[in-house]
Amino acid sequence: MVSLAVEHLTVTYPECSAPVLHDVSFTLNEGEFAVICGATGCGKTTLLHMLKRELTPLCTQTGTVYFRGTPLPELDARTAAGEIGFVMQHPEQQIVTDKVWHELAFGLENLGTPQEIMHRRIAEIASYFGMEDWLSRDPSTLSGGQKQILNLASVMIMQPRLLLLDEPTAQLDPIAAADFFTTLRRLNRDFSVTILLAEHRLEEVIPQADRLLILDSGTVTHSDAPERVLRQIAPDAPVMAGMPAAVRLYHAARAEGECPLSVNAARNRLMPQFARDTAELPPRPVPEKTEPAVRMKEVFFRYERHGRDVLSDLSMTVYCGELFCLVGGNGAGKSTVLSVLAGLHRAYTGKTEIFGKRIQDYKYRTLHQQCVTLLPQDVQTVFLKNTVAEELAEISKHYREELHDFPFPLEPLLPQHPYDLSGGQQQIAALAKVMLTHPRLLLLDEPTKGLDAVSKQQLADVLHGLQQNGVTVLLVTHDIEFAACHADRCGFLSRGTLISADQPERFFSENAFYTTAASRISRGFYRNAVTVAQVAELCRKNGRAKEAAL
Amino acid sequence: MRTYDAMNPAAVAVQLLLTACITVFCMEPVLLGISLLCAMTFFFMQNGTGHKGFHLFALGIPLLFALLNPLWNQHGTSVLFFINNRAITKEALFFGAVTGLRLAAVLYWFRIFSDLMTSDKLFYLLRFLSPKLALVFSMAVRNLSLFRQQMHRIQAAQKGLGLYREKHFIDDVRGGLRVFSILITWALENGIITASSMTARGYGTGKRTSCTNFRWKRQDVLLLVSALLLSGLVIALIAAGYLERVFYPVAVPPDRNFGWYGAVAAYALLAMLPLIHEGKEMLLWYRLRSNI
Repeated sequence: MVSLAVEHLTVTYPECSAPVLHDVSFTLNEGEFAVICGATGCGKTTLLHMLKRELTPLCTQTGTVYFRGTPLPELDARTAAGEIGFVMQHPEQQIVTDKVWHELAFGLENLGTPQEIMHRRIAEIASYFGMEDWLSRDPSTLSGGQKQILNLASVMIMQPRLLLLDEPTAQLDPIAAADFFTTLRRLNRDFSVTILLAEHRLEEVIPQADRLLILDSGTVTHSDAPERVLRQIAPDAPVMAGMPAAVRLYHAARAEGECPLSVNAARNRLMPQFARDTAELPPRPVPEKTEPAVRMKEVFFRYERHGRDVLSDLSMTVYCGELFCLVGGNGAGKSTVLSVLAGLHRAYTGKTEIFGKRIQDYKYRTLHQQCVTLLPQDVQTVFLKNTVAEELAEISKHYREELHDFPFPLEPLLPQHPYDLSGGQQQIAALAKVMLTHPRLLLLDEPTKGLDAVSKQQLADVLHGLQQNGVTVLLVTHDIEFAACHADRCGFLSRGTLISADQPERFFSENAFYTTAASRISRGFYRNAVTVAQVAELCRKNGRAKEAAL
Repeated sequence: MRTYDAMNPAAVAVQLLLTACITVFCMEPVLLGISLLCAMTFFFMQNGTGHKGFHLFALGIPLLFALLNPLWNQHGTSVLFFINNRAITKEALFFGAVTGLRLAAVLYWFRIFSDLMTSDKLFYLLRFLSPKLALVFSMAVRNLSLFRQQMHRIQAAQKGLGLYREKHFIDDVRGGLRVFSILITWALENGIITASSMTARGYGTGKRTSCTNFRWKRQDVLLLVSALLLSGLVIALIAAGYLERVFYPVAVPPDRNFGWYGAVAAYALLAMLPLIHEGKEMLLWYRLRSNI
């Protein structure tokens, strides 16, 4: 049975000449798991909102959307609300009430469900999602991952037949995101809920999807099984940058046969196609050691007197001019390291030196003035004004001259409200703002959170540009692909201690679990290849294997 | 075991509010004494020996009242002594003490009320007035805490950027104002997302029902009915003037007739309802547990 059919949908916003969506047609069958991807601003969000009647924006529309055979506008209001579920990006803002059980009940209350049925449904759904223990809690005390599971559960409680999700894991860390996807897949298998998911975190999703839709400047260019779509798509299309490592490698190495989607498939079908005579690329020249910018020695820190040590016996050195990535799991103390270095918290013992001077010897504002700047995880908190230009002028009247060597064209951003920028643009605008304080050491907390592949690349370019201008960058991240591609050195933080620090090639090839997909694919075939570009280069150098094991 | 705060909030609220209100409108020292004693006993049962600050406040201020009242109140005939040519009378002291007792009892009852009535219970009570209002209340409680969190985050971010001088009053005020103005923008922005999330889940599609975790059991009905009957009796007797007291010019001992005893006894029962409930549950639980 066809669950959703979109026929020749064209959408134009008022006062816009060009349509956002142009002649979009596709169908989804009952129980299909479809992923829709495309660059930021290609119309993904608009498309999803057009499929959910209550969220349809003010616009002129031609074409029709059918839900289980009925045109969307003709659906009964309660059917439309209950049977089409929608989960948005921001975990916190979607929550309405101040108790978890009440949040679950909210949708049912709106539909006028009797009391006894509500109680039964809440109990059911709480046991299915394993959230009985949090029922009486305040949602703001939950973790980001738990909040998003709550949002999913409070939509699922209305028993929808179609579930639309707009980048639901963008604000989550990788483990919470993987949990979320597992739950989605389970819902899809157990109840044959049709799922349409817009995402740019594609590594785990694509291998599980039944259908992949590519949206390119308002048009659905492909709609088919992922293997087939990914074989057809041009290797240099912008959407390719966010695809799983196996897919990018397939194109970069110009491999043959079916396109592999997962690490497993790439190891079995792709890697044996290539010879292995040259097992390693020539090592990257080790940069000569400069002065240390940060030196921490046996630092211990805890937030509360009787709490546990968040940093324990931490010793770490970051050299001037380096881009150092600190990676590690949740609660490893990554953000705490930054707040200690930014002077927001003080370690209770141990030595912390910044540019050779003990941190407590920086009096008044001298630590922050022209020395250390911390960009927090929620980058919106940096902005206080109505336009980006005002933000910059707040710090320096002559921001145009001072930012002339900023490695990103800021001019288009200046007249906009900071909250209206995309996630990537917000990061860059915030970076521009902090660069006006002329820091020598830049501390970044999860700068790639919620960014798509293209924005990540832009951010990396900006960071490398700042590095050229002599800025030392220390960033903490969950994003190991980003660290592998762009860091000079990576450090692994676990339980408040730095376990190891090395160049990314050596660092990630020595890790077996905490490593990049490209490293997992090439393990046993090549050595010290941790990015897709490196593996592809080795493949090309070696050429095809004599008896290709296809 | 079902403690008093697990009872239906409507019954509990009626009992506590009626007990407190009668205390406010009565000047009979015996009744006030019973009221304070019951409130304090229940408070100790709930909280143990903590909250020293509250005890000091709730008992200290009334004591001050009692001692200060004679200084500006010159009524009364039995002069005890003079301060600066002002007569300190026995009647004024007595009146101050009774007013203080009343204040202390009311403070304890309201403290108990605010401890027991957590936001979800207030939400339940508001539903009787208007389900819409109740939802607004629930959202407001949530948004207040979100607002506070975001404010702390912004302040930490601004500090990490080193934009403000430390310990500088003018910078603090200016920074505070700027943070507040962006917080408003942030709250509006958030509100739009929350509103879409609400309509997406069918808000406004028709008549709503409202889910609650509280039900009416036999015990709750019993509590409500006894609280209403007892307080009705007390109020009727007070209205009939049985608890009328005259303090000035001479304090007259009450006419302890049938009505007086009836009112005091009914009030004592009313104020002891929480204690009776807890005691009964404790005994029952003790007996049941000894069988396990």
